[in-house]
Amino acid sequence: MDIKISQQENKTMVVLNGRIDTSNADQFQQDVAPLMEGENPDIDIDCTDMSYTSSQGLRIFLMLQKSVMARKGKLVMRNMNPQVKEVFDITGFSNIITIV
Amino acid sequence: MNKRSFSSSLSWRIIGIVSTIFFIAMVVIAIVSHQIIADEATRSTQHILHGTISELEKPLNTVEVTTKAIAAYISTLQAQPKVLQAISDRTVEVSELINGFAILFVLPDGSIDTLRPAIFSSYVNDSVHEFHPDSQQLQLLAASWNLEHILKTKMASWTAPYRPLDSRSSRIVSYCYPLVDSMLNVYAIVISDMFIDHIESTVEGLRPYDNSIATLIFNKDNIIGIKDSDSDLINRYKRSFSDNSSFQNLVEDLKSNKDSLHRRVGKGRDMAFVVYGPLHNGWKLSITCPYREVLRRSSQMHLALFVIGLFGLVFIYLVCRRTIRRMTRPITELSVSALNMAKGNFKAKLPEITSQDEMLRLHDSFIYMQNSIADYIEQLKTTTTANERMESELNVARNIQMGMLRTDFPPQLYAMLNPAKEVGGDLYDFTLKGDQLYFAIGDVSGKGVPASLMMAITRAALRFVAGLALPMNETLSRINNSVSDTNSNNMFVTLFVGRIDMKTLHMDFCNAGHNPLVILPPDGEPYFLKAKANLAIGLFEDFTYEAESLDLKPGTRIIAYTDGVNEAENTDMDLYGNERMMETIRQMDRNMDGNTAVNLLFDSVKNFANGNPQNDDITIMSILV
Repeated sequence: MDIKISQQENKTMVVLNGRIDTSNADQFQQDVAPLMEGENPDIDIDCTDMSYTSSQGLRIFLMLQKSVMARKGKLVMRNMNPQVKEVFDITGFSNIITIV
Repeated sequence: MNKRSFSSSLSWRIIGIVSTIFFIAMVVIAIVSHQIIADEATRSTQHILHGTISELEKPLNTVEVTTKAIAAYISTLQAQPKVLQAISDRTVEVSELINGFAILFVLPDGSIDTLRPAIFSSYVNDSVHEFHPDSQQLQLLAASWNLEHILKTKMASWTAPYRPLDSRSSRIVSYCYPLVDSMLNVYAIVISDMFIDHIESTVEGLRPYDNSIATLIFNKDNIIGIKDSDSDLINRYKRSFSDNSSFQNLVEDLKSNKDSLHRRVGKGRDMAFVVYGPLHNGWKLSITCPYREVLRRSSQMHLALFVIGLFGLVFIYLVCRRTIRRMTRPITELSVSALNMAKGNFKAKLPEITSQDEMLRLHDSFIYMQNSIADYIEQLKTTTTANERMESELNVARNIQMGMLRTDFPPQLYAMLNPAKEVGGDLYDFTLKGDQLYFAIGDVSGKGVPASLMMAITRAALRFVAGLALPMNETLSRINNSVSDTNSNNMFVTLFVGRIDMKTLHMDFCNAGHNPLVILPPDGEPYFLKAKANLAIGLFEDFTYEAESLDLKPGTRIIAYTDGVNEAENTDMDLYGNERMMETIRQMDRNMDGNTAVNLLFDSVKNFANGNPQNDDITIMSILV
């Protein structure tokens, strides 16, 4: 699991790479913790190279979504591969997170 | 095992070094002192030799001077035989040294003059005797005097010792002085006799060392001090000379007319030095001293030194061992303490250390080690106790959790749940009310204790709501509201609920984000049950769930599962995957009971994992209508 965070104009750009599973979910939560505060709530996540997420990963995306909503921002996840997209669909997360 | 204490091995080393030095010193001292003593002995023996030579020469000089004076008187006097006899008698009477006197007349051809009879006087038993030898006796005397030699050399000389004609008296030597006429012919010889008792006793008393031999050599065949035939003498010297041959060698050495003042003779244990000097008349005096005797005293001293040294070494060894043992006693005691500690007694007593050296440092380190080990053990005990308590509590929790799961399966339904840890987040439930079979399967995000608590909450809500016989979407809404209400930690549950009318085989269901069920028709291929993607339970209150329905054919099997099945991994990190799962489900026929079907899938997953630890809870449910 690899995460790159950069600031671009008024958006926070995030690029995810690899798997989010039991072994690294805690680390992932720590990595994205800075995104859950601050005055720049718009977040754009590039999921091109994210190969898998476990339910713990989903939970973290949900927490991120909730914090963004609380700050009146917008979370967008892009370029999800079909397997990951399926997980988001099955669990109904597609209904609450904007996936393009 | 042959254990040797530190003190004794160190002492042996010290002894080794000290004794090496000691022996080297001993050898050097022995060699040097022997050399010095031998040189000194040679010098002092030479000194004695010269003193003895001048002592021996005194009487000889006296005899010579007296004889010469009388001879001079006779030669000028041309005295009558009667006067000559009177002079002769008077000489032996007056002179203390000369005990016999003779005047022998010879013809120019060297024969004894018979016309002028020889004059002989001797002093025996305090009176003067005149003596007239016959011609045979004269011949004997001439041989003793070596008359021929005197006539030939016309020089005065001393004879070798010989026995006088009255063989009862002691041996004598004679001084022969030839009188020469104007034609340089010897016409008479004046002879003075002297006993050699005094010379013999002087030579025999000449003994600077035990077993030293003094000899006076007159000529090649006449030696006093050693007599050729005297085997007693050889016996006397046995201690100095291990065999007769080496003694004989020495005798031969002395007889040979060598002129060096001192030299070494013999070999090995018989080695001796000889000092050697001539008297003015050509006699030679020698003293032979065996080195063994010369060095006896110093050898004894060396032996004494050696014995003292040995005692010293033993003493040093004992002192060293005692001292080192005393100094290293704390080590011995510390080793006992260490052994006690190894046996588990961490309060083992340590020895008292009074010195301020390394021992004290070792002792302090030991105390430090003792304390830290004791602390560590104490800490370990606490941790272990806590772990044990936690473990036993987890076991209790597991029992409680497993107790929440129904196992009184109706014939149509069978389910199993295998948590990855002691407790897990999967759940299933069912109930048969008349013809209505209610069933549910769910999976809490995450696993372990947090998931298990969430599972318990969900399970309680499910059981409560199921009793209300509500529509499926309403059932999920109620559960969602109940769980979301208390979910501050953003955990969620995927949950599938269904209800099958066992008469009509109509199934109503609602899926809150759970893996799609697999439907295996009696005469077809298995397929995933497409359902609307409703949001998982516990995220947003008042979410509106949508229910769906499906009519089943008799003999249809429904397999419900959690993602522990299709996302199981083997050691190569490969996923079990949907395809393998579908292939396994395809093998289930309608005659297979639920237990067998469920275990077929579970075993397939386990075989695939190939020993890789189970990463997520696995739940499988089979329903056959």
